Amino acid sequence: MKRRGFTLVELVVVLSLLAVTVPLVFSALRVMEQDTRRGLAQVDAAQTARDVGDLLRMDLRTMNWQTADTLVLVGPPPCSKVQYDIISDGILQRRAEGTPACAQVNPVARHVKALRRVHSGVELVTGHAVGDGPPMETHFRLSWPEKPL
Amino acid sequence: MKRRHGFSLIETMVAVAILGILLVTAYGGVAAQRLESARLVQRERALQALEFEAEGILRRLPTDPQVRTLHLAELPEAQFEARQVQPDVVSLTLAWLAPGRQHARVELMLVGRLP
Repeated sequence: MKRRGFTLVELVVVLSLLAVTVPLVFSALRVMEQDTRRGLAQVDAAQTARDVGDLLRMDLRTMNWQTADTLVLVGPPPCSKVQYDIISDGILQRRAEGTPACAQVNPVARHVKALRRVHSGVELVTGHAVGDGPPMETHFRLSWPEKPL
Repeated sequence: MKRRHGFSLIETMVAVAILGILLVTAYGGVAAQRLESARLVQRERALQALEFEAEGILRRLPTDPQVRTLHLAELPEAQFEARQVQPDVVSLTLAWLAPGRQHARVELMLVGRLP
């Protein structure tokens, strides 16, 4: 007699194999996706450090920190005061005051978790969501020789 | 002749092997990309260290050795070198051991009338 279809044993074996292999494949893909996200986050963090470092370095050519621990720079016109703040959603904002040519508010970078003064510079902390866990933090030290206050 | 049903062991093994090879190849690409990203972060750290030194030269301000040490501490086996290449050219070089045990190096050239 010609057999048609699969037997119960064959189906059970196939389903068991699938039950083992499918989660394995998906967990491998999930690990790959998270690793890709981490890699992209690191690239973005490096670019943020470059942008923030360039801007602060440019400001510090004409200005000086107002105090030893705040993110406020003061100097002669056209820009008499520049302040860096982290506003909502990790956006670093630069607020410049002075003559109309200088006075403006600009977003500088995204995914900024912290920007704090340290000895001879600032520490920039970026935070990127890479999965279900806490955001991935990357720390950068941006330094420059400081003029005495 | 009895008609064969289903897959043979060899066929199954070949299919699983192909799946495995594809996964390993894909993960290899992801791991390489991750390594390259880590190198990029270290390269940015190295550039920040060199720019700190460059600012000191350009603005005629003394650079704090403690800050230099902190910068270099973030880069394994870092070696910093500053040398006058020509009368108007200063080369700042930083070499370190990048992820994957590869030697990395960045160079910043300051060209022009330096103070």
